[in-house]
Amino acid sequence: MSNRVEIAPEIVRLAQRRARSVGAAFGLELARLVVEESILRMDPDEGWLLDSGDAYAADDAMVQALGVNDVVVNGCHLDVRVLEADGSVRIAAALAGTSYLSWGSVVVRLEGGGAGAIVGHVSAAAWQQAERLGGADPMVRVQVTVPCEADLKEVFAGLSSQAVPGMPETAGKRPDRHELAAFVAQRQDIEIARQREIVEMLMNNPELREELADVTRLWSQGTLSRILSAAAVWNSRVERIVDALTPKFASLKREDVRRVVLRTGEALGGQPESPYFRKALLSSLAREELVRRVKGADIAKLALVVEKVLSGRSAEDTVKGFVKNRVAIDVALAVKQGRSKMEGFMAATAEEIGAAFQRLSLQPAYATHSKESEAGVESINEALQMLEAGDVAEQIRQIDKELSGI
Amino acid sequence: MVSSPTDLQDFVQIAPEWRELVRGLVGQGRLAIQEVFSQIGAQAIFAKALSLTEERGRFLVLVRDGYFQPLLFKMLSSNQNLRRFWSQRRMSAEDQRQHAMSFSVDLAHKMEGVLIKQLNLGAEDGFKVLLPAYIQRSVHNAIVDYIRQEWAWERQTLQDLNLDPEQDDPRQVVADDLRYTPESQALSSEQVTQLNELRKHLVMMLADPSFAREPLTVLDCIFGMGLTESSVLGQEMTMREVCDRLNIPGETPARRIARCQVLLDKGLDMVRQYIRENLPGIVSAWQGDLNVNSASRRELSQQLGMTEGEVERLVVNRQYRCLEDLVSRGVVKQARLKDLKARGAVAAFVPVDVNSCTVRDMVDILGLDKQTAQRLASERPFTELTALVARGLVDKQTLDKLVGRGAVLRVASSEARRIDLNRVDAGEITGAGVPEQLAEKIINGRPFLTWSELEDFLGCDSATWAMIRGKFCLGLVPG
Repeated sequence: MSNRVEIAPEIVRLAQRRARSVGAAFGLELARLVVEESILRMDPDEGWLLDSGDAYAADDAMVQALGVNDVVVNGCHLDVRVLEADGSVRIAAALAGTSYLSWGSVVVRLEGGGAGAIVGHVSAAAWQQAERLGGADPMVRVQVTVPCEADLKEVFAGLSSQAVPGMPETAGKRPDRHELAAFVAQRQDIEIARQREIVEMLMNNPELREELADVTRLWSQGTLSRILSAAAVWNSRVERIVDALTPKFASLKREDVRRVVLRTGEALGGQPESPYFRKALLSSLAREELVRRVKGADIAKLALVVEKVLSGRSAEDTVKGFVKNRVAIDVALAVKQGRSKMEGFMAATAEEIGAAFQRLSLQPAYATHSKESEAGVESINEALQMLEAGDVAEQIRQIDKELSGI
Repeated sequence: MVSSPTDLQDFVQIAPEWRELVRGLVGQGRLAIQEVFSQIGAQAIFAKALSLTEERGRFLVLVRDGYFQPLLFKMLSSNQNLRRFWSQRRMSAEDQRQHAMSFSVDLAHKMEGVLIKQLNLGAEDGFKVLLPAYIQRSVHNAIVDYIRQEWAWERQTLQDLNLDPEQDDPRQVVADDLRYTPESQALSSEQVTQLNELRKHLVMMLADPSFAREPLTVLDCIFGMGLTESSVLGQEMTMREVCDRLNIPGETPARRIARCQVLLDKGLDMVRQYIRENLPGIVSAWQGDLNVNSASRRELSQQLGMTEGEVERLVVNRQYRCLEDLVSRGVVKQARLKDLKARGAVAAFVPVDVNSCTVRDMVDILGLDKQTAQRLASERPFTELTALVARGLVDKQTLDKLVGRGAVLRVASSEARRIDLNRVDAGEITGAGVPEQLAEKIINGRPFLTWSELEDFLGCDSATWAMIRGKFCLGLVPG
């Protein structure tokens, strides 16, 4: 009879989700399901009973920290390993030589994404021997000869008659939180003998497993994977925004835009679709653009103009709120109308002002001889700068629309 | 489990030959009738039932309630597949216990039916239905059927976008990790700060020759971080794709993938060790898991322990840029913030796609009244948000408010032109060239969050995989 069993797709998907959330190896999850399914298919007369609730593999923290993968059959913890492409099986060195492997490992050959067969068994003694030969390698490997499928009855019947090899006593110091964290994240820095002491203590002490759960929540592969996935998502969002915005801000380099995007995310979170995000980002970029384009102007004031225009007011109305001299604004408007876009923030020349006065049918003396400080050429230039800032803001309003689709 | 004295009296009355056994067990303080049945054994129970005529019905009721049901309850309660299925749906421990109890009662009735059938047949090996190993198998089959049915129901429900505001959003309860998918992943300011730092550090690691480059490059490709020329930004690669992209050597595809896995593990270890030393605060930014901007009212009260008034104020004032906004907008007092953070609260803006969100999202996140939300849902889809005003569904002021609270219309990406493997029917999948058997498998396993998950699940040949990758996309927002 073939040992090959297929797992229901729904159960495979549950295993995938678990593997993803705790950062476990999906192959190991699947192999364990294969063993469970194989046991369930055996003749009920044989009396093999599973108790998956008692397995260490039911404990997420133990899976994350150590890669345990056991099934409990008639009270025996039986480890399950996946046969690798080179015909070997491997396990964390910290587990080899501990009571976790008292009953050895069942070897499963996986076929495709939802099937497999039990093909052999590696005894605790074989693991111990491999561990002695393995040196400092964090993983212990055993080469498995698989001439044909294993006889399941033989494998499981062997369990009841098997003499459990003697395991070292654990009288070591209970690990504190700091050591547990190192055990999860940097196990190679801890001596192998100490690692095994910790494993034994974890298996015998549910309270210590609770502590481990707290630590693994912080440093598990699942958490790390989520962080790296989030990093990819955020990097991708940043680059899309930078691609879209760099051509719109002529004075800013790609790196300048990226820096502002990163900073905005730090202040407002990573959703460019957020109106707060967009407004803050575009205001900051406009400010950066103004700093580079307008020399010697009051950038704070110009940034205020941009902000108001972005809030919905027209550029002209906004400037009127800042510059009291209406004539200066009219002159600036006339100068601006006479300019090409390229001239942008350049100060008005005497010719431009003269031409504007002519267009407005004003006497130059009115502006240039006024006692009011704002009424002079400076006021005209200030109004001109503000109008240009308003222009930038109006362009940005268009960009805002585009950005909302990113 | 303690049985009532009446059960034991009934049992002794029907089977006086076991009076002494019962007395002995009671003497030891073990009152459960299940103990009695376990001691007697399957064959003796079956033989006794066979021997009974008038009393058989009463005896079978005792077997059902005193043997099958407690055993089934124990097996169901410890079954990891069932626990995982329920946990992924955020079912509390007490709810899980109650579900297991009613499940065990149903199953016990079924087992009684099977036993009656065997008794009527008078089959010699009919006792086997009473063996724990047989019951264990029945439990397993029942669980697979249950999960399959629930899953099918959820898949259908996922298509229903007009959920009542009182209902939980099935997208949240079907798969806990849906919120980790790229398009719906909300990142808080704290997380972004850490991610910006992480990026700098990863770039430094890649430039530093003292770090092995290959494992880091594999990591970059697998997660799609766009840090090396080999990876594609924002696009996760499967192991097979990484092997091809990086020309990972190996005699067979399986060996190449195994090598890739080793490199990935090494890369993860390197990064974990590095960030543990250089960015120790990063993991704490990933401990919070309840976004106050999108959590349901039930989650806010149960998980965060908020009062009814706090929940009401929170919902009315959504959305929040950071948790401190809860204080500045008068939702909670400053002193409560620490507790909320400890319970896993985070604040990250959630874009709400008007074309695909639920009515509940419109009410609870965008702040619309139920009637308007339902009218708006019935008028979908929209090509631009201003159409809401043009069609007289909301006024300009309301639209501005909606936008402020996160209303968006997602622009269809080039991916959207592909066939959504998480939504289309089997006909469309096979029509695109996927073998029928594979299409059925895909439908049974949906939804898939990543290509790697799908590849692992299907385990198909390279040509089929390349075709699937080229023609389909994995859409995750229903609609």
